[in-house]
Amino acid sequence: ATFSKVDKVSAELFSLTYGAVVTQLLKDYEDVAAANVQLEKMGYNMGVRMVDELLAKASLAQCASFSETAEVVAKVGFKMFLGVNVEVAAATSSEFRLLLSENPLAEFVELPEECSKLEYSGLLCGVLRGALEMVQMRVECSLLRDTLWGDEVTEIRVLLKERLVEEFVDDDE
Amino acid sequence: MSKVAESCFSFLHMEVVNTLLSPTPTAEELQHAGRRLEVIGYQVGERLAERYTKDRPRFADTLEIIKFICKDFWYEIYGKQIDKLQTNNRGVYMLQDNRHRLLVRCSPAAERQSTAKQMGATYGKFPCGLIRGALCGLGVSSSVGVEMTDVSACQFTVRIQMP
Repeated sequence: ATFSKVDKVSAELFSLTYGAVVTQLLKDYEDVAAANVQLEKMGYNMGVRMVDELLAKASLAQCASFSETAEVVAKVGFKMFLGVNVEVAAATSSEFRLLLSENPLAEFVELPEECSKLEYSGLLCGVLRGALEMVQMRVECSLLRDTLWGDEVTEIRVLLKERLVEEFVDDDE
Repeated sequence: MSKVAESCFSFLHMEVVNTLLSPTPTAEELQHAGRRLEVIGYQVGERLAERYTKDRPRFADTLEIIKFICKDFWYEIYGKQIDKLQTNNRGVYMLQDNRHRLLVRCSPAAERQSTAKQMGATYGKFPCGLIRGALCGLGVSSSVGVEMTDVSACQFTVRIQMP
């Protein structure tokens, strides 16, 4: 429902731009592994900003459990930003998996052989890590399956490493 | 036509700018980053123009192509049209966007206020590339410049290169 409220741009613009960016990165680094790291980092910084946007636009209550967090990420987060439906699988108190049957990032993409190890959707892992860290959860995300690797769906695993404790620092000393 | 949230695209663009710049960028760095963004925009513009024109009749002349960019192309991409189009009828067109989507989220940090205008110009490079790429895809070679007229308004100057 939140998706209908936000300003939108063409998904083609987004996916083609991302494609052009990835191409540039690969040219700059000349190394797939280094590009993967960079994409994840870009995602992280985006996630940090996106969680603010999410909390501002969607009216959310605090999540009682990690599996509830999973539902919010999938049903509210992905829906609001990318307009896609994402399934949650294998949700426990410290882990969940997201299954994307449609992925706007990879709309027009085919990986050439020399880039078969490229984590094209690694940006999403970064986004999740950045966003969840802002709400006091340190997580580790990995791309288990990707349609670009010939899999049926894109699957992201999110592992909860620790819950961060908010520290308050008195600055009027 | 599928859509994504505008914020999503803005944040991606911001991140691209960030990876190209150091925290306190020099004029030279800004220029270099601008060129890179222009190239990315160009590639995107060329492809989008192709997609958006595949079902329409041929354009009669350059003006018609420019009008297409201002109306349909801009609308498909940003959900709004170019606000004002002017021309000297000798191959120069001025396209004014009063509220450019990429710029409305910009607020330069205090230490960057002095370079705010240059930063703005850097942010304007991506749409510059979009326009140049789209024109090129439609068979018109041009050079495109951008000027910030207000905080989130910008004016693109398209100079058609005569064959």
